[in-house]
Amino acid sequence: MDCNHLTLYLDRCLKEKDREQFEVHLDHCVACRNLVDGWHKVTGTIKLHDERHTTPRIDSPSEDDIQRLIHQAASTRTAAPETESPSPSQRNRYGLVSAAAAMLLLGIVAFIWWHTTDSERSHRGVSSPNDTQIIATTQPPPNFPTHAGQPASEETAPIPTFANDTQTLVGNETLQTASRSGKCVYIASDTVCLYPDSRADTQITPAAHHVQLKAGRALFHVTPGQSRQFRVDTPRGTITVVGTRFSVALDPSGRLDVLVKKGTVRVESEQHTALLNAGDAASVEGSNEINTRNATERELAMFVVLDSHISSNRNIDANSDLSTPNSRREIAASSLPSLDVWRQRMIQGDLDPAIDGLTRHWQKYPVDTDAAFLLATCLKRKGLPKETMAIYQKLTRNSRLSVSNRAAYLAGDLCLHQLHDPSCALRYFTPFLENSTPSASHRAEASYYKAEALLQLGRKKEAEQILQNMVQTYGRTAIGQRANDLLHSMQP
Amino acid sequence: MVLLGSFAETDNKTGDNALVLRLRQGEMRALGDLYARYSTMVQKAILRTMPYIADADKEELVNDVFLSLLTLIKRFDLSRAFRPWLYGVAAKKTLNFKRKSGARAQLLQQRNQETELRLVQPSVHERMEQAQLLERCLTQLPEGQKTVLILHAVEGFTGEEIAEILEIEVNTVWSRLHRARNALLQTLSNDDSEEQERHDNGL
Repeated sequence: MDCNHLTLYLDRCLKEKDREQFEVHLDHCVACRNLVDGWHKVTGTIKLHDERHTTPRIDSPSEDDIQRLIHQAASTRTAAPETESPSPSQRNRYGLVSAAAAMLLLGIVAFIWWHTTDSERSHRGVSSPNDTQIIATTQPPPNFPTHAGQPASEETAPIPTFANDTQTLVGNETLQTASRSGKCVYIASDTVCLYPDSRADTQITPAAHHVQLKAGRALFHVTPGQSRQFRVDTPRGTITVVGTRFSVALDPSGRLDVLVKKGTVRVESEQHTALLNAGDAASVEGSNEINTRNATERELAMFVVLDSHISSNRNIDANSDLSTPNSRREIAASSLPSLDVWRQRMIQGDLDPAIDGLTRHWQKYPVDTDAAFLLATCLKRKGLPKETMAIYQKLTRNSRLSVSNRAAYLAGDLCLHQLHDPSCALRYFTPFLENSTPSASHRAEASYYKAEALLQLGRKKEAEQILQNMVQTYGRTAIGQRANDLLHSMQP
Repeated sequence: MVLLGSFAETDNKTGDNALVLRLRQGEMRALGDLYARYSTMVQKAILRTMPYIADADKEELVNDVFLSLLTLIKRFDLSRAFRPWLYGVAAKKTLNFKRKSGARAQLLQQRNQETELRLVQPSVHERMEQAQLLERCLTQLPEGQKTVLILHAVEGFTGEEIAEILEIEVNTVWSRLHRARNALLQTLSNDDSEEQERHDNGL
């Protein structure tokens, strides 16, 4: 092994044995060692550079995202098993035209499929225009069980179509679904998904949300920690909720089925009471006795419907403006003005017009957190850390985890490096590291900053512990090296 | 001695292949698992290919990439590593999107590279830190070299894998990598000799 192998070594093209031999050579050859050390410095910089450009914008995958993807994938597969799904991210005119054409084609395929396979199903006279649109845009409804006692006969998830336009209820209303399409509604922060062929009355007051299920099946998500009562009345019994996700189904024969995905509910029939926990199922039949059992996995799979609707309702707290959508993606569809103009202005250094424009934009679309982050960046570049901080503070209270996480991280960074207020930085980094699920590199940076803040406050022991942990976890990466350096500089 | 190639790729390979097989059999939960495992990498691939993509577009592209696996997964060769293959899918999708979003995005990006350069310029009086110097050199590298460098040094892909991701010759990968490496090491040694000079002059 000699200096000629250096390039192969740096390219990671040496076999393990040769690599070891070359490392022996490195111990003797100063020239090679200097180059290798230099290269490590360079790769460290590359990694940092790359992290700085990507990590702040990475959303860690949440369980909601995963469920949504699975749901979407399942519907893509049932709708068009042989064709590739049309890309949704085509913005220009040609993209739109081809997307529309693909949609139309999909719609026709789905329509034909619907007619040929479900001919035995009785077609009720009229279907609203809304109905047909759903068949065209999403998927034909696969078979689904009429009540929880009968698991679906097919392997695919037994989930019918649900309309996409979720409506928010504020007063008393009667809800009725047609034979082909279900419907989801929001009652403040609670979500109710009504299956096809179902009927329910709602009575909504600040003190109680009250749903009377007359026929069919419904899924419920009730946010925990509310002082109001949530109750579902059926002819067979009453279900009272603390904070939970559950399903109630009423058979044409009068049998009542209750399934609980999360939390606890109380089921009361005329003479009996039962408490159901997550994963339990219960049925009430003619004798009004409550039979409890364990729910099967397949039965619980139906909650996928609810999940996708909850994630869009999550942002709405009980007293807020109920009509606001919460993600930029949702509003993007309703033609939200692009931020590129302002981003470009910012890049060019025209900070004042960018700040002005973004402030107006944000006032007009308070849900567009991208605008808020951009505004904060502008303010930071202009040298107004206090104003920047105010924006981050507001964003940390956002109920989307990816938004509040990012804001907390940026706020902590700002406190530490621009406001020079380590205790303020600690206030952000500590909960950030404890409660949330940041990405690995975010977590590493935040731990490092937290240690820095602790050091500035003179809490050496705690800082030392964090740094030691970091050295252990991140060892040879750039951030691990930095932690190591800081640790050594602490020792006298 | 710092290990250069300490990537746990082989450990992951069996797990990846199991997920791929489950997905081929139509198990959607496997897609969810792949998402949990690789959505961060896919987002990185997107952001590296198109740094100034809007958040909404990015989210949609990520979804797009994973949904496209439903059909593409048939073409995946189980004897290869899954991670670089998926990276390639993501990079190609982003490139397509970039082309479609047209000249405006390109202009924006170009403008942005210029500012980036300006941002890493030192103020008049302070001497550039070594890291800053390196970073400036990095931003000045041609786009092709920079991409290869990041895929090799940060993602830890091999030359063959990078060639497949970028759809270029393997030899091109190596020549780009070597050129980039020489440039960066040159910067470093220039800085060191300057430092030496300052030291010798008693500064």
